[in-house]
Amino acid sequence: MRKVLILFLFLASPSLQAQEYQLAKPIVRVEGGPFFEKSTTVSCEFRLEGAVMRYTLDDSEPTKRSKAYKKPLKISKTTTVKVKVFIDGFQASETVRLDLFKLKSRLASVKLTPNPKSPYQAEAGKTLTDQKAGSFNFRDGHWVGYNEGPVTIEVDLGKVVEKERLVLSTLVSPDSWIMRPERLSYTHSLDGIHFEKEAWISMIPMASFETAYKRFYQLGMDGPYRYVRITINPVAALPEWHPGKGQPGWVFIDEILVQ
Amino acid sequence: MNRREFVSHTAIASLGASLMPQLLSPRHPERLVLGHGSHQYRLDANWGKLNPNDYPVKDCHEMVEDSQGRILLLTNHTKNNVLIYDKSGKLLDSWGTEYPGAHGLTLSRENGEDFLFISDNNRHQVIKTTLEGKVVMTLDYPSASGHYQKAEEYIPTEVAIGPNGDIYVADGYGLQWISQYSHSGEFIRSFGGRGEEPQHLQNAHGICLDTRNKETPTLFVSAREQNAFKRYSLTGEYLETIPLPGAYVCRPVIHGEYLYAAVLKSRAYGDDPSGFVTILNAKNKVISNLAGSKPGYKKDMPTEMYQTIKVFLYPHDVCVDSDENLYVAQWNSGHVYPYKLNRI
Repeated sequence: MRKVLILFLFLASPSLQAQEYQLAKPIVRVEGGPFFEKSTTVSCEFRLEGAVMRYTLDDSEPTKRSKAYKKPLKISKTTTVKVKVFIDGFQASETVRLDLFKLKSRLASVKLTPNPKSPYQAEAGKTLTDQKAGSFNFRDGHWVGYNEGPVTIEVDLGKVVEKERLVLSTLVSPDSWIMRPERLSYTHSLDGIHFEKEAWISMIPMASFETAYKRFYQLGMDGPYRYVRITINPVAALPEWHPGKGQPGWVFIDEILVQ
Repeated sequence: MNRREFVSHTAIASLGASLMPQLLSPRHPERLVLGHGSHQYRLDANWGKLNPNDYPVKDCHEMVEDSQGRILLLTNHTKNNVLIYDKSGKLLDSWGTEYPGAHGLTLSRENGEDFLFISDNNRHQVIKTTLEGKVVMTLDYPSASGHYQKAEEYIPTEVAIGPNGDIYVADGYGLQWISQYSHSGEFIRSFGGRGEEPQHLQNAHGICLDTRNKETPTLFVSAREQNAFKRYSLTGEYLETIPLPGAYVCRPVIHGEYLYAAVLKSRAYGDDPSGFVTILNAKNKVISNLAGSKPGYKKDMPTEMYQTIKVFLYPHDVCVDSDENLYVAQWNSGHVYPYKLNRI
């Protein structure tokens, strides 16, 4: 057994010494943003000689055998685009994931209680229905932010629906103290008075290796319904590994969509 | 990838003295080339490594070369705020225990003698010392400017010395004024300041004297949050903005006809570690990015710049030595010692 282990270590060590540097992520842009009515165009860029960007449209992880990016991609349905950069001799980049949503109807109204925390108020509820996505710059005016809860979001779809899901679009950026919520629950109603039993999205604590990304929570309803009440609690105390440990974390939301 | 994990990878990589090859096989690490065109370099990630128990660093903020060809590093570790190396990375000397917010390091040559200006964020002061660390002048916050009520509002990040010896201090983490003093430390004026107009500054993180045009030297100031440099006359008139889209540029460093700057991070990657080094020519056009995207222009505007290879985490300053080699000091990067980049 020990011999096997030694042999294993012997074989493993050269690859450790030949540690490769990793490529940074490709730049992926969406014309007009990730929420679209008919179609949208995704373009990718990575100005490093020899780099090949490879992508998938089926939520699978891009590999060296995935399609190489040559020209902008036209997307006309709700799609997850994943792009990764490869060059022999380098560790491939992290995957850039882009969730593109084809819009159905617009929400009639969204009410936030309390108001978002200054200066991340944007236009409060209006911002969450403006069909404009926030960027990774959380100060871009398309985000509302909270660092204490509970936060209540009251949604009126304006009409009774059956199978539609709501999608809550959020930012995760631990370096900026923006975390997944500690708790996220929701309940729906036909008349806005009598609400069904609360459903929860189970949350796993954030890990120290997580970097910035957009996180979409799919809120499935056992319809018919017209009203939804979402309750969110930001992380009360940042975890031990975080530079701001013990202090409150933030929740940032840019949109609520109907799917 | 987790930052700590990345740092440890970097450490492993540098044990093997690994560089990445240009046409990119890690089996031939010595072939790795960073940069573009006339300004290409090989990375030496082992340069200047010391035993952290004896000579610890926290953030490595800035570096300068003195008249004797020694490389001075400023760190905010108060066991040894200043580490003095030779160009091979051998430690020659160290001093400094009283600069908890050591951030800016500027060399001033005065009648054949070298002096240092240390901008200390925590002390809200600028301290002038000899090369041995003897304090010869301390500048408090510029109350005479009328812009400041108390010292805490003033968080100086950098100093530049004018042709006549005037001292210009950039308050890059405070109210964004550039305060000009006489050589002896009398307040003359302030300019810049926070705001949205072209003459205003957002994160005036660095400042330097640009003598490339010998008749009319000017001041180059970083507007890091705006991803730009701004140019002012020696009396504080705003002249122009040099936009560098995507690049959070730290201080400008002029060497010969070129301007060098560490880019703390790329706008495209949010707050993730994503720094690189950029080099501009005499016309302030980007000509090389080390571990960054190939320079490109659309009309007069550079196309967005970003990190391409994760060589650096958060580079904070670049020092160009008399052999045209570079040294890169990094902030918040797992207490790494500076890297050297040897010009090809």
